Amino acid sequence: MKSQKCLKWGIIPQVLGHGNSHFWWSFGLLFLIGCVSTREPQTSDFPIFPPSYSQEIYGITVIDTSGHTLQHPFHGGFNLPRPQLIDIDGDQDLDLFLQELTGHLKFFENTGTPTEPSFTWRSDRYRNLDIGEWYRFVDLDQDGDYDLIGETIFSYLRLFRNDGSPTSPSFATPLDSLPDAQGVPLFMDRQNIPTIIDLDCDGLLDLFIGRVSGTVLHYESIGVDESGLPKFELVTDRFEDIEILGMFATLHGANALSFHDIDQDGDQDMFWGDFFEAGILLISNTGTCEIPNLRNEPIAFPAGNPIKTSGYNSVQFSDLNGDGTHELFFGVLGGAFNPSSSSVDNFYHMDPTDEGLELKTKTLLSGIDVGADSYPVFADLDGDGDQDLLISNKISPSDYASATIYYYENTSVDGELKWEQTDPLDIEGNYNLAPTLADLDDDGDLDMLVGTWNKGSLYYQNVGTAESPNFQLIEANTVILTRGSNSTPTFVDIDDDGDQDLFIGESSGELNFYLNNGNPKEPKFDLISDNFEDIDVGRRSVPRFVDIDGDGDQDLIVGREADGVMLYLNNGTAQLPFFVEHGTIDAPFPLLAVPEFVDIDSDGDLDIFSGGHGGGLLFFRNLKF
Amino acid sequence: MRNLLSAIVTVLLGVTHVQAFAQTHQVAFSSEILPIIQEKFAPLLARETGLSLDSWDGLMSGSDYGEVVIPYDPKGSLLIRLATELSDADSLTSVTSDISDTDLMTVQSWIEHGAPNDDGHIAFAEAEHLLYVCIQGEAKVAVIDMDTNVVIRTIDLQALGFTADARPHHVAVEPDGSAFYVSLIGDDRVLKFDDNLELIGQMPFERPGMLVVSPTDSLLFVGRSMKAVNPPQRIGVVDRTMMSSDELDVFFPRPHALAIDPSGSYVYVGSLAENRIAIVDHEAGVPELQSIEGNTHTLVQFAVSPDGQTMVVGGQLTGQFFFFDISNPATPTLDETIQVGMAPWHPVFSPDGEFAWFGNKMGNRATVVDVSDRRIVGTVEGLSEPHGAAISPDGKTVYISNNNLNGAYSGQYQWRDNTPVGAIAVIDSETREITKMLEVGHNPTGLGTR
Repeated sequence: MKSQKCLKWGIIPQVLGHGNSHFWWSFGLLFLIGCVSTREPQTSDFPIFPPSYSQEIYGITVIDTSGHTLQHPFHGGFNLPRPQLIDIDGDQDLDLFLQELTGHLKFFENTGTPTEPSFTWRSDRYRNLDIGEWYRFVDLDQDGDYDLIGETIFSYLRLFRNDGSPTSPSFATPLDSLPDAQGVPLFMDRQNIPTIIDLDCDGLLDLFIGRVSGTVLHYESIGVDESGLPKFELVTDRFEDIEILGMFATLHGANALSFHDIDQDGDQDMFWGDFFEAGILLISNTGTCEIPNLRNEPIAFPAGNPIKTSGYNSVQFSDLNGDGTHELFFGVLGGAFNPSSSSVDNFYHMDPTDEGLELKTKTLLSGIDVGADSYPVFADLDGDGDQDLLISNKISPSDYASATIYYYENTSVDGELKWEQTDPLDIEGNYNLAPTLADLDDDGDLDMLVGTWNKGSLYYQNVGTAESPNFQLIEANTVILTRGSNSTPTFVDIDDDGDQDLFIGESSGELNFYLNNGNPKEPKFDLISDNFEDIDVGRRSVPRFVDIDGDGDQDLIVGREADGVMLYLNNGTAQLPFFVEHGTIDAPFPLLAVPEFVDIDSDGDLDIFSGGHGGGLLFFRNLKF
Repeated sequence: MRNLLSAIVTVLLGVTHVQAFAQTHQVAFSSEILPIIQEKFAPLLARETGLSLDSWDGLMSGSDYGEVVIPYDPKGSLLIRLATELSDADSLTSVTSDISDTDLMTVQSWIEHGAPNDDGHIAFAEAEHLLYVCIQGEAKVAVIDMDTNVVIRTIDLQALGFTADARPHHVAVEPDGSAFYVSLIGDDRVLKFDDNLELIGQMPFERPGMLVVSPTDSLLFVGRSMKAVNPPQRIGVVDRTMMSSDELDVFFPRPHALAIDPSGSYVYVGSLAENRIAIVDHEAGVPELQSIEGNTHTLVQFAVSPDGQTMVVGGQLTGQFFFFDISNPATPTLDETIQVGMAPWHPVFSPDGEFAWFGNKMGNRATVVDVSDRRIVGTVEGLSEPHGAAISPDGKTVYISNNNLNGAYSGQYQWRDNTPVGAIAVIDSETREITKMLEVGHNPTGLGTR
């Protein structure tokens, strides 16, 4: 079926300039108003539209620079993990829950044994339970299974009661604004993660809420209501006169509380992570189980060799390996001490030994994780005929002054997919690097345009070869946006004239279109529109072009900060495109999605890898073929 | 005249109620109210030195410690609180039994309707120099007349439909005083009030914090508070007319400190978590970053000198105080750092630009810095977790809010709820002595002046 619609793109009212001369990237005027025939997406046998994608965490062997195989290569990365280990399915081993984003709870099932744990990813949104800003599993109604509490807007307590069993949880419709014994909704500042235990061994649960002031609210259950839920009554707003002031004796923070009997004297000691505390504070319980005494000075834990991170550490002790001793696990949420430094190393596992706590890893769930705002692109960088991966970040965790472009070489053999990380590209000095590659001088190798946070898009000419690239910056060819930051360039032959045209996304969510009025050897990019087709996807647009409906022209896909990657079908032709919004691509993209299309399994359809907020990579396999 | 009267009546009572009252009851202050106060309430006011109960003027002028009556706010008025909320531990409690319920209701009703004099005049309706105070712990905004240094009005945010945990945190005022803005860090909103204290606009905003108004266009800039595990790394750019916002990425986490250069071209943003300042050309939408050496400072809040040449900011964790030369606003230059210690909080410049004042939150004091000499020239002790700072237009009076969450300031009275009372320290800028502690409620924070 065809219809006639007027082409909208390609019109600008005036020449836009920036005051510096760009002989190569210049601005011009182009009028391409016209009417074109439009078509519905092809529904024949190749490819099938719409495609169907399945999220996969595994399936490709990924080796890091140390030679280790990443266990969960496509978990998407973590920046501020809030972990909790519990046996949710009653199989006697500890499963792992982890919160990275507000409202979302990741679930990794322990598919190993009680003594040899092995986690398998099951969900990024466990049962679609919206947990708000924090969560805790606790048997609140003391019926032998785990209930789930979290935050409901703003700063109140939401309960997902487990109406199932210890082996088969079933969470009821959430009860919002859980009240105290007087019927007043329990309130806890949403940045402060509370904890619930029976501290004084009286069979009744105690609720502890850390305050911004460094004090601790203590509620104690005074029995249960008619539905079996505890009735919490405020005991004191200054529990044990605790007043945490952080390592620099200051206030105005955020905290995470937990308890564990660290000295094995039969009572619970308190652990405190804080925005203004780079480590973990321990307040020893020198009383008994029945009569706790936590009126002791907080000390940096462990004594003698205290932990030091970027701060705001969320602690849990669990016997994951079943040896009878509890190991230390904590997520680094990132406090006052340069959170960028913990954008990769943020999920610690430490094992007690005779010499003290031994660091097992800073990345308990190993996966591709380059920090934050990961930005992947695929290209054959070594001329061996397969697609290699470049993946960059917002800022290097180890270099305050620059982002990094990491390189994973595709070393797959005979259908066994394998990537091996090698040295990063020698490109630095800017943030939010966003590379795209094309042969821009028709010399048979791939050149690179690299978007940046606030310095436009930088041109790196490959003065090496297709097999051994050597990228050199040609500053004169920098492309500066008319307004805004976060340049995200991509090349496409949008008019099917045999050369590469240029689109650049940006922070505003709009698109910039530059038509190549040169030729494959000497491109000349003229700005046609800095608000292409009036497309605005919100914030942080990332354009990509593929023929997703198999009709022989390039469709437009735009990643963005918000949920969902936008699809604009080209209902025009390969020569005269006409883009029509077609909703979002049906796959659970992360925030700040950077979709990259590649037929990674050589089955004839395009799979998607997406960068995102977490700094890792998500893999959506196209299931149509 | 900016008519505070009608707005407050509307906000607190509703027009229907007011009209009904006016039609049915005309209180004569001299004959109906003053005798009750003189005979029944006077013993309760024994500690209020300087208070004259001879006349309406005397009563409304307050005492050496501040106001006794806040028009339209009986619950917040000391007169009523003394009769209803004193702790048994306070020696004045025995006096309250002499006040009958009828007496109490009569006085309450009078205050509720503005505490007018015999002619129906409402006190401070013509007040010009106002200090807006966020009462974060009580979901209120107090208004202080800087000419008399008494609380003259209260905005009860719960009465406007916001939650008890709305937590007003910071205030920014239009250059011409025609409106002001309040960030609610608990309810995730930015509010706009006109000069009649009427709520005329609001918008949702994720984790709002500090506010600054552009002096040259209709934009309001909004930073982020601590009220989230991971607040957005952007600032809000709000059209003050429409109360709609866009956002600008500033790259680093926890953007908190906020200021704008006098030309309105560049917004400065500081991080609580990294030693970075973003210099944001908001027209071009392109920020630049500048780093500060040393351990994490945690930049709390900026202030820009009246001549636009200098910007200052304190480091919460290091106690350092930074002076930036912003004569070229696009490229601030750090030209001096001094040690002031104990968590320097919100700074403010004197009108002549000679001094910068700020509270030291963890030191329970205020510090005065000579801007040209880059040195401390004075301190004021006796504060309790000082937070916001403001200065009167004539430069004679400095105001510093005191959170007093830990109760270092004990207050005049012992109240039944035992909550530490926050206060505004009124400081003579010449003598650098506290002349008043205005007890305004639980946890006062940000200040703004008109």
